[in-house]
Amino acid sequence: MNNGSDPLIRLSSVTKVFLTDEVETHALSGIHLDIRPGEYMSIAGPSGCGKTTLLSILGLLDTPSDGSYSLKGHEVANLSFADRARIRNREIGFIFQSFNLIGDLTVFENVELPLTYRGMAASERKSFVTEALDRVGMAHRAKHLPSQLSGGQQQRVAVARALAGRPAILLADEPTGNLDSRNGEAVMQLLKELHENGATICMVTHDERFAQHADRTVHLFDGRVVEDRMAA
Amino acid sequence: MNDLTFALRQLRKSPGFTFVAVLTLALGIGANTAIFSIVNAVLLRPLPYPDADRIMVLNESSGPGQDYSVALPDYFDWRNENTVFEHLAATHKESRNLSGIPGRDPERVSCASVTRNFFNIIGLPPELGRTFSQDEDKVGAPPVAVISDRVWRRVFNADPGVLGRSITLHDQNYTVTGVMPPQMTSPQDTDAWLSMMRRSNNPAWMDRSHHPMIYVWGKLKPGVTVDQARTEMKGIAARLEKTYPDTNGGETAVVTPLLDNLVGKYRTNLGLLFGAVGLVLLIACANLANLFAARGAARAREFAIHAAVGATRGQIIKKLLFESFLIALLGGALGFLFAVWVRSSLIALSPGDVSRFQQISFDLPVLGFTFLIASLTSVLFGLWPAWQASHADVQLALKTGSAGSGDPPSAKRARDWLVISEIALTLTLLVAASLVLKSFSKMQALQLGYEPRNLFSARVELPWKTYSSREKIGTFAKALLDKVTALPGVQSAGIGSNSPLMGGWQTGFWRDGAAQPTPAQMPSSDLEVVTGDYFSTFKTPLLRGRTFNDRDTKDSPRVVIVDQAMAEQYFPGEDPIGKRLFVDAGNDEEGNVPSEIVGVVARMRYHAVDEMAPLPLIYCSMAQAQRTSLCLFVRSSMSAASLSKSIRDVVASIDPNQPVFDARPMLDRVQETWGTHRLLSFLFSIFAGLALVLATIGLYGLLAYTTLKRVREIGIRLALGARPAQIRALVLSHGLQLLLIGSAIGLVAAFALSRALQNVLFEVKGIDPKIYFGVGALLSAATFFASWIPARRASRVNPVVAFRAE
Repeated sequence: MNNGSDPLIRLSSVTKVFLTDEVETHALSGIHLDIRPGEYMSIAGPSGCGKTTLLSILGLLDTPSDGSYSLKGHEVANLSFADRARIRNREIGFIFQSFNLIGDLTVFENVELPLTYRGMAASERKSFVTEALDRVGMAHRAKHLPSQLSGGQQQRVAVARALAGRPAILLADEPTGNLDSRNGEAVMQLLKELHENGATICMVTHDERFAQHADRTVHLFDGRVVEDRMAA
Repeated sequence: MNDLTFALRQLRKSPGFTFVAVLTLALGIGANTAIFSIVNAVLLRPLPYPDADRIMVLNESSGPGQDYSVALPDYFDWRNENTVFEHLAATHKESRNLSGIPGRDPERVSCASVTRNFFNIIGLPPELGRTFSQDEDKVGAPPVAVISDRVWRRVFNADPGVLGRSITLHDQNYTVTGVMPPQMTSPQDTDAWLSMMRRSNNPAWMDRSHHPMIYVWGKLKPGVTVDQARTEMKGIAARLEKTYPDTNGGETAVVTPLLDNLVGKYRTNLGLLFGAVGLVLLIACANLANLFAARGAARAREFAIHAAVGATRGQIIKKLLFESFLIALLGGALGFLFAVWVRSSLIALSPGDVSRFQQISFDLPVLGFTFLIASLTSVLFGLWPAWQASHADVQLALKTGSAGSGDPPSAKRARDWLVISEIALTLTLLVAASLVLKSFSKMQALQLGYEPRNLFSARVELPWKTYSSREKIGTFAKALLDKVTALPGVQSAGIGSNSPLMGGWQTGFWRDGAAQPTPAQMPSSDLEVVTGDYFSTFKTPLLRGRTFNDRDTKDSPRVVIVDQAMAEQYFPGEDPIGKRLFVDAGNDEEGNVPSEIVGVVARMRYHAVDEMAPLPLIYCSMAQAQRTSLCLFVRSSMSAASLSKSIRDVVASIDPNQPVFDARPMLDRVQETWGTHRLLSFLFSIFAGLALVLATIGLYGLLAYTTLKRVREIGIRLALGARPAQIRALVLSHGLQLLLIGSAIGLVAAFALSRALQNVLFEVKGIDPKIYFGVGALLSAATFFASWIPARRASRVNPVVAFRAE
């Protein structure tokens, strides 16, 4: 969906080259990509096409080898590690394929974690966490440990954690990859609802069925954008 | 493949792990073996006499720390009245000059006058000849001597014809009747045993109030316990006290097993060292347990496969215990070699005056001890990790294809507690080492009341037969002082007879004008007999009055000099100069004679750090008190070797029959009093240092391992926006938590240990806030150091790992 507003994210000529054993591997080559506020975009492509690398760069977990990356109009490609962490904490919410909840922490503490790193006061954190858990329907499980939840429930908690800090964009890496079809469908439904309520979502998936939930699908192949298609 | 082959293969596969484990254990076992070799040589190895555990030494005492020798009449009563001893013998140690051997210079030998049944107590037959007969051990008997194997070989070249030969001891001829075997050295490195009863008509010895350095030895009847002997001897002493209240009032008999008598005072110190080194081994075991547990976790898949193909838990535990046992054996062997390597250093650090310290050896008991602790440690550090590995979740381990997704909380807690216990033990050891070090430094800085540096001492024992009068002794002493003072480089010289750090002599006294106290109530003081520039040579200041001079002669009124302690205790608020004391200067049949105080000198610490119940001190002039046992003191900047030679030449020029012995710097004698403390403080420091290194490595290992296990979690945290400093704080706070809990436990243990240490500390309180603060700071620094590298590594984790599937 292109609503004509300024892009939230703009990638221009982004490349990523990995050096391994003196061999250069071009994971991404000349990527141009705009993501606008409120957009629900999926990135699809075969295994090894650069989807996760692109998501890492979008999420400021990694830096491009070349090109520029602008987030909310600010260049972020060459920021320091600590500065990228600070922006990541405020602007980006991650949903991982394997949930990535911390086993020693309760559901509440897992969701609270990004807010803790932000230095938010405890009372404020509580209200943010409660709201996020309410949104995913997991408030009643706040005191449980991740190991006491089903996979679908764990992923809902992971979504709550991504939402809790009210980020500018949610980045989801194969969010249904570790779930059965029923739970997978439920998570996709949750993302759809979030999008309908205004969230910007960028999701990596190799499952065409789930890619269709997005308004726009970008196809990658060999590190290049080979198709950028809006939903019918 | 059997378990041993499997274990060997596993250890070869991880040479780094094997090296670290073996080295850690070698340090722990080596230190324990080294200390056990001392304990074995000093405390455990039986004395070389038959039924040595039945041999007792007896003395008289008027309370704790107030032990003294036995009055000869008391010995006779003990011997006649007791029913617990097979034999009860009297001994009297003395030093005599052995002369008249063709081709040999006169030399000083250590003699002991003993009653004939002393040899029955020792229980060793002579290797040559015989001991005394009944007829040779009575008043008026011909003088006979039994000599030691050492003298027989050194002086007589092991000539069997020595029997019947005449030897001269202090100008008195003795006939040699026997040679004792080499292991017979009692009492206290004796070279010649003489009959005691020949001299028992000595009037001074027959005085019940007189305790002329006679010690009683006894052999318990078979089946009689030490406690039974103590009870009976106390009963006899109580009866004597009733019968002779004037001389025996407040006196009791003390019975001590011979081994305790010889080395009992080292028991506490060696016990402390053994405890300290045991703690080091525990820390090493805790480190290894963590190391093995981490390795076990990394091998979870391997054990899961073993389990999947039918291995029982017991079989998996056995496999792993084989590995830990092999490590322990290798560590034990290396530790044993390490202990052998440091043997000479241990001997050099040990108190030089106790021969059992010099007999440290690595015999079968020490080897057995090493094997035993190696075996025990293999279970200590190997069992828990083996048990854990055998209980791993097989399905999970096989499914994840790696070490597993994470350790169970119980394993994490156990690993934390291992490090906490290491920190607690290290803090305890560091506090103990600091206290002992501070105590040692206080000893070194002790104000003795004289300056031992550049002060040389040498002893001469004049035979009383030749030097039978004060005039003869005075002539010898004057010639000696004149000639020594004239030596180049000599600033001053003086002679004493019962000098500091050389035993001492006590006497009774009372103030003129006061009623004469009974012997039991008589106040005591140390007594020193001096001539020449004694005080200036010692650099002991004269506070009032004068020192002795040429006008103080045998026939002039008796004069004494007292020390500051005497002045303060017995003349408070008065000027003691001109006052009189009744003093027994030790002249035969003279008793207490009124003596005018002519001077007051500063207080000397006569027994240095060993001064338990310091007595005031009275100095007599050698012109007025007869002494044949002389110690020459020379203040000089000359080297000890050249001074020693010059003094020997001077003495030979005056009387060629008088050997000089025990010639050495006074500082050596002072340092000898520190011997045990030097050993204690050195080894405690080594052990505490070792503990600190091991605990630091242990903490580092735990945090590094935990960080490795948490890479993915850290990646997630970073992905969620944690800054590197926050990740560093996460790891550092884990280390800090362990430090705080370990320190709290360690503080309690250190308080308890400090109380136990109080008895061996010198002028240091067990609870010393500065030491606790310093140790806390050191441990905090070590914790920070150990935590920083894993913390830094954690903060550099690539957050992209969060995307990787488990």
